[in-house]
Amino acid sequence: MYSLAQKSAAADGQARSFSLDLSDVSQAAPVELAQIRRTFEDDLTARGMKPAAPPVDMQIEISISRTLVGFTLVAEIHRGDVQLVAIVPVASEESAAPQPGAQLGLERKVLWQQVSPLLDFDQIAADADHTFWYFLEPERLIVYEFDGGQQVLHDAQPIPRRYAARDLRGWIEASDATHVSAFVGAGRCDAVWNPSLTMECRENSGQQWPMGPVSWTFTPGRNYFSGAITVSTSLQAKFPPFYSSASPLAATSGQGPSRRVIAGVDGQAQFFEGSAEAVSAFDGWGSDIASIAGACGSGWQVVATGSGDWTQQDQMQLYEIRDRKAVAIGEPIEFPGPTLSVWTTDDGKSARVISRNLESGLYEASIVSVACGN
Amino acid sequence: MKLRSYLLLAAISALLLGAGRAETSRRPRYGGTLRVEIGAVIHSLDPVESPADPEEAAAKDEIGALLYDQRNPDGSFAGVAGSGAFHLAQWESGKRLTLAANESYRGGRAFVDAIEIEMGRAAKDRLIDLQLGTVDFAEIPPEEARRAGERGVRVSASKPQELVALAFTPGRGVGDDARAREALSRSIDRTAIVHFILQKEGEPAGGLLPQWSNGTAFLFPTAADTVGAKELWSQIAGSPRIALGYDSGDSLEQAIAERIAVTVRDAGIVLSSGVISQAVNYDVRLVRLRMKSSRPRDALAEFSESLVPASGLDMAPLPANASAEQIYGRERDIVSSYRVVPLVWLPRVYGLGLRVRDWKPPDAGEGWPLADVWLEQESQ
Repeated sequence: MYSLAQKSAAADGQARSFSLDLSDVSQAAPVELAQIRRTFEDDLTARGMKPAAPPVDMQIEISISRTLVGFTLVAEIHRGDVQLVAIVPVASEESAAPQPGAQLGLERKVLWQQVSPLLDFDQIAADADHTFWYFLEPERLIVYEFDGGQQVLHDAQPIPRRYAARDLRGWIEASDATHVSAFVGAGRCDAVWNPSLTMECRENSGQQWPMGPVSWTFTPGRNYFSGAITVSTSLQAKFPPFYSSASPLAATSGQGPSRRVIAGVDGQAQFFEGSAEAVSAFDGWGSDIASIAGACGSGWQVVATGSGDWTQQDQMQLYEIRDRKAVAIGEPIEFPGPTLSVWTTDDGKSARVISRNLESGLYEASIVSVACGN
Repeated sequence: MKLRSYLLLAAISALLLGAGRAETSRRPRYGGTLRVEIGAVIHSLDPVESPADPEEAAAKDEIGALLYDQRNPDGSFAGVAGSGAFHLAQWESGKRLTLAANESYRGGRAFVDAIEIEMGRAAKDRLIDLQLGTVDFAEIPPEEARRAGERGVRVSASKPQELVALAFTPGRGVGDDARAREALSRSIDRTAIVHFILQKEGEPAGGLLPQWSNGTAFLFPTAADTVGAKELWSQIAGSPRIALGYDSGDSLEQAIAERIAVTVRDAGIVLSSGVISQAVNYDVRLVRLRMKSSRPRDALAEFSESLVPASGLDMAPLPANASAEQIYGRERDIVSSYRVVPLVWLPRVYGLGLRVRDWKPPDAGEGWPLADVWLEQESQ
């Protein structure tokens, strides 16, 4: 705004009065027209000019326009026979506010936004003051250490790409605040923060991704798991290939992993109960699901993404699995773009979600948890 | 009768596809063969050979972008064929080709296993095949987009990225009179071209860059000014006539040229339109210019390079870091000469099969993003 007023003032010559017309040709201006008018008039007044009704020394038409990279202010300045055009970009102050959920159902809190693609993140408290944030990107693991809300340290280590997949899957498993493992496609990296980040990466032998009491078998070069779930060294259960799977969280529900939902590669969400044959199927589920143990509700709760594809907005719905059926709880929450990964948090009480905001193009890390309502 | 049977088949096909659709999954699925039809006939994929036919050259470039990982600064492909998301699996010159996914592509293996491309399919045949569900992806002429949508074809349009303009030939009588050029520009009803010829699939163009690119297109008026045009035309001595040329194989150019010939009569302008040939001289010709970059400076530089020398304008190249004001200023200089008269902006329009997912129309300068699409599995 300042620079537009500066350019206009530079064009004024001996002009002492001006009129101002404003329009929004973008039809999506991120700022109020009245605010622009006020700021601009104040700025020109401070430069010795006065707003007035025509006839005036100088007529200014300001348009808010949209370009490939954002919004611009375009000023057409008419002074006698002379016409000048000044163009300045508009600085955006958009921020992602946490999205409150419905009274009963899910709520989402956006914790982080960035331009680069994200695969997963984790937030781990070391003690009352220190928190570590890990961010997994396709080609690096990044850590931030926060002390009382202030970032004090930051480091990153590269991750070699193994069997590159176009839809690369990634997952962070934290042993404690300073020891994490990052699973990226066919590779595994074990990292230690001490207080710089050291990391060792290798091919993930057996392609096992440990998921609580079991481990899933990843398919290198693809974006899904083979369907083999290892329960112990001598026991492996075989399911259809899946993108994600959920079973009751033993620590909170007392139920074991013999009950399981898989979001299959064939687009079907199927429920298994102690055997390799599905006993029921759930309609309308997307490919990413995760169990969460909310503070309210009595049964096994699962969040599931919606259907559609990555060019569309997404939603997430909370379900309770009862009597081999999935009962939707509350209203779904909306995402301004596709959800790219959904994993149960370390404490099992919520889900950490990576999504892409189609409006801003940013990747967003958020926590989705159950809202108990009143 | 023939059309009715096509429509019946299309309806049955749509019903069958609808009934057979699986529960959708959001995450991309690997596998399947994408069936593509193109209008062009490609005789060679050798990057050294440059086809004279613009349609063949454009199609060859699209396929090259799938076969090669990188380009040289001049836009030609770098490295070896097969370094891109796909490699060539089968080739029948001028008829069809098959591309197979490159398992070790550094950008990640494409989701589909293969792409089968059939060449030389006329636009009407491509539309019918889209209706029947026997093809997954085909470009549709913008002027056919609305009709395709009405027939149940899934249509996807890009942002406007192809400019249709008039380019005057220097040294040709009436075209050398600035008043005549301005009169012609003012007399053209661009909105009518968009509404009636393009079936609303496009935008009137007053400048050389679309609004989404530099944000300044609204500063260039596009409304017809018959009174002003008449006034300017009346100042020209004698009984001038304007000869407007268009490409012989381009039905859209022909329709636009004929429309212009009719509407400019209201301003008293006498204009005849005809196919460009070596034997026929023309004062002004229709040109179609596709943006090769989304960046306004680069797009304008590209347009200037192809338009300015032929129009007789003498302009220094824009600096690489040209500001929005410099870009607007250059655009204004070219348009104010009336040697180049912008008419309409066209999007690129695509017809898609029902099972195609994660499709995003490419931006200016980008190729078909076929490595990113995946095919929904139909239930058994």
